Amino acid sequence: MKKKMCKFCSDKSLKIDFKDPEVLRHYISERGKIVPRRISGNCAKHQRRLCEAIKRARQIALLPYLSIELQE
Amino acid sequence: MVREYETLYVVSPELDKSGIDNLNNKFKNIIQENGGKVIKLTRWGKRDLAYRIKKYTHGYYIHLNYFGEGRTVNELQRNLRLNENILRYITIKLSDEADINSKESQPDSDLEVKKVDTQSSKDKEREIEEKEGEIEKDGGSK
Ligand SMILES: [Zn+2]
Repeated sequence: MKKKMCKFCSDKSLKIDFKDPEVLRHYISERGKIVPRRISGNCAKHQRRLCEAIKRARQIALLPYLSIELQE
Repeated sequence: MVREYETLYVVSPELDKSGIDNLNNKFKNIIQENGGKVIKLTRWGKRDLAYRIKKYTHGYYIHLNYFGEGRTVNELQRNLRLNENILRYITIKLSDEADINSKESQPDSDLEVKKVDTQSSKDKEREIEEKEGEIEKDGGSK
């Protein structure tokens, strides 16, 4: 069990943007839930931004609320 | 007080190109006529919706970047809300204070999806839809 680093702190080119669901998709589970910090390793600041971006992306149908659609 | 905003909206897939163009022009005019200035309109094209809206599984995504005042945004949002061809919309404030002359208006454009010519250096730009298929969960399964 290694401690994970916040990906957004270590890679400055990785931007959190609700318009970029491909980045956000890494942080939602199969059920469409936001992956918690203890698993993703994100810092509090980036996790907060991530949550906000995911909520916006859901609102505009770029991401699902429930991920039935994600599974083929 | 002028601020910079972005609005992303989803147009019904039942509209044809001229119908979508008319809508886009209408919204741009609303911005222009209410103390705002359109910086750029970008057509994302027809995309899958992550969930069904009404009976639709697809929609045309349009992105607007603009300067505006409170009334600019209110009027735009009101028109988006009342338009039956708009399936979804979202507006984000990008800056608390902006100089309306700090950015020039650019011509409308289409978001190029397939061509990602300068791969790694364009890190600031979104590369939507390059990754398909396997979705790797970050630290999920192990
Ligand atoms: Zn971080």
